[in-house]
Amino acid sequence: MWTGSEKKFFSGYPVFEISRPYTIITGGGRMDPNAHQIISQVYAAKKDSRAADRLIEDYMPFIKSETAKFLKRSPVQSDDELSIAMFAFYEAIRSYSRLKGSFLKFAALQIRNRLIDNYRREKRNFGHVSLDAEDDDNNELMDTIMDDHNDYEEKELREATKQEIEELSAQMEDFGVSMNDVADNSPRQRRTLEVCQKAISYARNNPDILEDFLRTKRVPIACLAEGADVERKSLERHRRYLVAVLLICTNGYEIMRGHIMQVLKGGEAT
Amino acid sequence: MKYMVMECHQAYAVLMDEDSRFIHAANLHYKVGQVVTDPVIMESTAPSSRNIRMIVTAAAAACLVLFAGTGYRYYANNFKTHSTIVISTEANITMELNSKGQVLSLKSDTESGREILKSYSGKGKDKTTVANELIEIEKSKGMITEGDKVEFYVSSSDPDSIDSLKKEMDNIKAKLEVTEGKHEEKVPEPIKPAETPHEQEAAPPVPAAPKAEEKIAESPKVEPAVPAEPPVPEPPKAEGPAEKAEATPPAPEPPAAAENPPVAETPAEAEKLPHERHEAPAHEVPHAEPPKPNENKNENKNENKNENHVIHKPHERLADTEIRLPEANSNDVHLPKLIVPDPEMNNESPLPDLY
Repeated sequence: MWTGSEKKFFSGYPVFEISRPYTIITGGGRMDPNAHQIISQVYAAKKDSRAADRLIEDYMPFIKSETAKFLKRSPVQSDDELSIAMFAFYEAIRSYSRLKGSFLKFAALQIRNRLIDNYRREKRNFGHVSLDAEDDDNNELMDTIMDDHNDYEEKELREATKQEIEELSAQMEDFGVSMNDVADNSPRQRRTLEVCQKAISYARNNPDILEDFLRTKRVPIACLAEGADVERKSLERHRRYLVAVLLICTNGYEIMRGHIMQVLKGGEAT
Repeated sequence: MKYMVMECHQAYAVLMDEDSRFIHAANLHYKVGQVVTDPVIMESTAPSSRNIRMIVTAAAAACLVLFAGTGYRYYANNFKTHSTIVISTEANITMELNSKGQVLSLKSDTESGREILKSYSGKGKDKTTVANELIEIEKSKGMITEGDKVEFYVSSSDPDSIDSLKKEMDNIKAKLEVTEGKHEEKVPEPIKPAETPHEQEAAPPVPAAPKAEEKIAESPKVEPAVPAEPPVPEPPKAEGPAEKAEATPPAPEPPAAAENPPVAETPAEAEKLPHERHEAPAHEVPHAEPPKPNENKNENKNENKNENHVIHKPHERLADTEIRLPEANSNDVHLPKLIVPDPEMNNESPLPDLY
């Protein structure tokens, strides 16, 4: 049993510094008492994004070891594979249930599958030369290509966008909604998305509704459903999503509004 | 599709696409406010609409296959022609049967057959019943007369069913025996005695009716005398009062007399039995030979031993049938099934016994 409370050597794998004690559930039908602890941690991480971040941080050695198994080398922080492995671990947290057995085995499988998927996707780009590749004179390929982009403008735009997003996040907190909540509550089906966009378009055409929304900090579901002639039930299911998009539609978020304006105008995103 | 990075965590990022959808994706070193393309998007934990559609489609396909299979099986068992029996008479009626042996349709390529089928529909009935009823109808219309040969041609897609049809043919034989009583009333056609001496000679002695024969068999002390000459064609002298009233010889025997045939107590009386005095027409049994006196005794003994053999009254030649079924080697076999031969053939058939 690997308690993880000290440095351990894996045959063929690099050594990781274990910062927090954790347990790997072994096979053979015996379940470690600490297994209940990890399961409770996983269930807590399902609801709380901060708990999820903490759990990922705690099991970073495990994630790195699984990535190393795939890469046959020790992963570095800049490796996309490590990012994908962490993302797969987060997916495992969200999709785990007790019926699926040991969490770590389940997470290892998820990580492996994700890395294989990524490898297959990236395989299409094999044989292409990277822009970061250096030539004989140690000059990067990117430096030799004429670039129309203005880095300074791009940086400015990114900073402005970041500021907008931070403002939006702060305003969303007043509504008791986080970005994670919005991502979880976002419509996935095209039909549901169209219903929501219809209601948002109706709100944009009626500034009084947006003003009431900002003042009362409540989504006027009944008003939107009646005015946009959509089902109230569909809007209620995506209330948190509507909060985020209605806030973007108010003044002050031009960059984000510009990002989704084509859809808000009724067009189709390419 | 472009995605705007809205929030970054260590393991994931929240992106907003151009459709204003918010999604979780792998954080490939993204920064908030960055616009990215081709991210690694989180798979939905809930079943997607596409999966639901696939499940529904698969379930519908499974149901369709199930219903189609069941329906085809029902159709094949009940409505698909499994075998065909042709009753080779003047009407030449073809019975199409399902796998259960029920008649699906009756066809005929002759005018007389079509005429019969206008007034008769045996759909859904058992083949034995229909065969008997058709023979009865043909008898009543005079298409079959005494001594005629009725052949059954059987074809089937299943070789195994040929064997079962053989057994069914035995049932037809049994059914024919059952319908004898009705036949006496329906067919009053008398059998005229042979007029020419040749016919008299050709007429073989007809075995006694079952009851009469049994009684004969039960009286071993008295053996019927061997007739020195072929029986003289005389009107049958029935013991009942009804027969006495009938003066004309060709009149059919009354049912009472048929049910209670006279018991041969002495050789002289045995000679007087109606069936022994009766002769079949010459044209019905062209191959018949005059009976040999020394064989007559053995014939009676063989009749008693042969349990499957059918013994009937002399004028009910149809009942004197013997079903001969050759071995079926092919899927489509045309077999003479029901033969009405000379009564003498009941004991010693010139044809080989094929089963």
